[in-house]
Amino acid sequence: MKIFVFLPLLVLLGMFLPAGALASVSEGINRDSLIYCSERNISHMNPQRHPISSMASSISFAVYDRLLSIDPQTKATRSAVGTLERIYHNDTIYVFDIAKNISFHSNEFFTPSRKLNAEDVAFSFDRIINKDNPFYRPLEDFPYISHMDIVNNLISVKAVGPYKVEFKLKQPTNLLQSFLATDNSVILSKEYADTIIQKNLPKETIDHYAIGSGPYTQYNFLRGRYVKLKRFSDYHGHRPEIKNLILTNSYRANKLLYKMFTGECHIISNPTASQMSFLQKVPKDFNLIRKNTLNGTFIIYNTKKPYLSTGALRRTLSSMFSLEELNRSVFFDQGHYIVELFDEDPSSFLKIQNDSASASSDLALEKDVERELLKDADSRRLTYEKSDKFVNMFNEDIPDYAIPKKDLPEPGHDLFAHELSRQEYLEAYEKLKQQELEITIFQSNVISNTAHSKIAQFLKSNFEKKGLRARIKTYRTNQGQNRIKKGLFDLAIVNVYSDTESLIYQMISCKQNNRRRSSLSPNISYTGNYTGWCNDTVENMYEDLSYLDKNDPDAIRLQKYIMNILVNEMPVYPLIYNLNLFVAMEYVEGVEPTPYGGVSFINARIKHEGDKK
Amino acid sequence: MIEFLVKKLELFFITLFILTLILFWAHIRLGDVEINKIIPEYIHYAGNLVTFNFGNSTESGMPIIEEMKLFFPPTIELLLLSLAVSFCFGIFLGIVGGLNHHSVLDKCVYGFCLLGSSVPVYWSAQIFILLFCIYIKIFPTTGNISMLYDVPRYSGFMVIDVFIQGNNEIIIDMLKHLTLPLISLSLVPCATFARITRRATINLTQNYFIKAAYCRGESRFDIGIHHVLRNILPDIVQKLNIIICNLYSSCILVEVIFDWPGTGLWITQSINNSDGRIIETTTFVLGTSFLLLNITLDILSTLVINRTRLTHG
Repeated sequence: MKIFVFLPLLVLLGMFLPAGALASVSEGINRDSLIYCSERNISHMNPQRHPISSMASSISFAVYDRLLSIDPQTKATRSAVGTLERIYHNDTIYVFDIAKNISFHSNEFFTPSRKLNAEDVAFSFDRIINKDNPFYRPLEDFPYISHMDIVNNLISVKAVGPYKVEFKLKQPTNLLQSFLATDNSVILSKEYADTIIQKNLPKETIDHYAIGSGPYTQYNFLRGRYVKLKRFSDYHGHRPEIKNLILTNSYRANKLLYKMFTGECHIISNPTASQMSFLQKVPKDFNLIRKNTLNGTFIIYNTKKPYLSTGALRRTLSSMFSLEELNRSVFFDQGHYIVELFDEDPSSFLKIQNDSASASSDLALEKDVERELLKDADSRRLTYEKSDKFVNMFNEDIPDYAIPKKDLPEPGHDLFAHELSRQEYLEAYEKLKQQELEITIFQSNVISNTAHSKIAQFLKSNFEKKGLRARIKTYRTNQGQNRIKKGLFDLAIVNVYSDTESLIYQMISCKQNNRRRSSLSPNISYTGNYTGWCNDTVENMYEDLSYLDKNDPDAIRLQKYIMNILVNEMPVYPLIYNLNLFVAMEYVEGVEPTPYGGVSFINARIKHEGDKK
Repeated sequence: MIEFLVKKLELFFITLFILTLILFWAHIRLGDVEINKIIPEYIHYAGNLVTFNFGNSTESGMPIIEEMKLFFPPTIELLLLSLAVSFCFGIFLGIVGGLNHHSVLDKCVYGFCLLGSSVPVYWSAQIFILLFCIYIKIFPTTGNISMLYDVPRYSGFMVIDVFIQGNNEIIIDMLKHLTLPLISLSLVPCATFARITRRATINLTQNYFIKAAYCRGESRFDIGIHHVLRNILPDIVQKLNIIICNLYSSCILVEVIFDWPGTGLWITQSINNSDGRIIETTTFVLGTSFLLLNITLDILSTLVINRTRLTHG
């Protein structure tokens, strides 16, 4: 009978335990393969169909080429597959030369018969803007450009020679090159697209079975789970050392760390702040790679709500919590203030916040000085904007508080906000007190969003301490976004991933986007602006800003005016941006962060045992 | 019997109709359907569902049926293996406990039954990960095979495909990936089977034919196999549909926890991406398969009970 009891148990142990032990040995370092685990979903193999994200950027660098790229040091655009040949016709036509002898990958449906040429470049962008293109999709299906105004400005993209492509714009802009250098602006194969039509394959094939010209070629893709890539033998550039590259995703933050410990991932992206404090304690096992990229968290206020309709109301509400305390309690002091990105001194921004908070106390005397300065600025303001570089006449519209205190504001110069009077503050406070505020957050397992619920809890507790009532409403990402688009929120916590130029602009832009899907509510007025706040002066300033060089004193001044208006009106409240972080096993070398938050594996290698010693 | 079958089929079609109505209601909430075309739309919609014309995914635009072929086999594989493991071990433990009533062994079995039924799968799975993956480091945490291996797709069932390929290293890796999800999933049904079997065995051992078998000098193994197992099967078959339904709901949790590439993970991803078409399709397919399974088991248990009655009559 004992044998009868123990035999199945022995069989079970014999089956599983040696399997585990043996397998753990074979799990060791595989010198030819690298597994990259990201928190971002792999919905498509075409980065055009992704928002700006670590996964899209990594796919872009592994599988595709881009016309231009961004210099990691200077952050300026530089040539990649294309070189800018000339700009003419009042800066509205750009012509690029395309590099020769660049081969495309092949797959089960397609074998290329020619090299990359201007037709391919033209097709890649034409499918975004030209409704007659068979592969055209609504703008919403290209999330990375949905907030970029450049697409509405782009008239056509066509091949004007075998290796020459022409971009025609409605109006001159300096955004075209940065748009082309975005990691998501990849070059697809026109010949592949033609083959898809010829073979009557689904049009989506082009976005799922990638044909690019990058260092790795796709050979296995399971949507939402992983993509397996192998080294492309005909790659035109430096040959990567890693033969097999696997990009996979995991929805849950703790899962990524587990997989790192068990050797199922060699590199993980964006660990949470709490995990970082743990990872920093074991530095010898992991390499920490940091990259200063934009992934900002904002509060957006619904200015259409009567109790949030004025700048005073919104500023009063913003003064109910301390940004420094938020950074400490939610981000473990790992976060960076978004205002830093605009060369603003965070302490100046925090001062404004704290000043608003203390508006109920008697500070009138201290502020007399500022009033004097404002008076001075008011008398001088028109002398600064009379520049022929500006196309918009917004001089008369600039509010007093937007005028900086110095003649030419320098980076780091204090932001300037008019002081809320005690009465204004009390009125705003009384109005806010009558309402129960709804703090909207999106429920998502994506790691960058996990801080949102903590932020919401933090805000709620701070509001309640000050006698306001608040409740947190959590929505699934798409459902929540639809509610926000319809204006069914009071304040929402959102994450924005973008370059500095369009980071705030996309949330306050007045520009209408006419290419929305018909299924969405017709109430949607603005591309990414859900605040309901729109200011023509700011809009014009942004437009002028797009023609100017970043370092132009006029551009700095305009930027300053915009910041001052925003600080006073506060339709959005910038919280924290996170550094893009990657954690690699200590034996993985040469992994380079990309400008838009992904990683490039072109120089990656796995350290040999001998190297370690 | 025919009347019984007709009743069951009636029930099947009525439930299927209600299911399609609920799904259509969800469908029109997500999409744009004109109110005066609602009946033709419903007929078209339900027709597409029952003919397995599920359309394309909202998010990817690719045919859902193709994705279904990728995600369903791993779930069925895990379910069947779990059912087999829990059935064998549960019945074995139940018979051992029942035949050794009041002994230490029986108390151990009873303790396992209580523990197994009380521990929720989402908790035990996490504990297993912590223990065996993080601390002891003998099992991986995710998937059904290491990402580094490529297994050609013959049947879609990883266990079969890996054995067809015949690479020992990959077989071991597959077993390693299978172990924790399988144990986590099998724990509760195994305890349930053991509890039912133990109780049935204890009742059965009071009968004279068991006592006679002891008197004849038959070993406990022989008694267990030849007398007890045959007689307790009707009791088990009656409970099988409940066990399988619970197993399926647990399976979705296990798949999510272990990133097992099955329908559970697929549904979760679709919910996260608000991919309405996939959610509707999986609800329909799962609902229909549940219905079919329940009806089949009902018929089976009726047949078994009738046969038992006839035998004993």
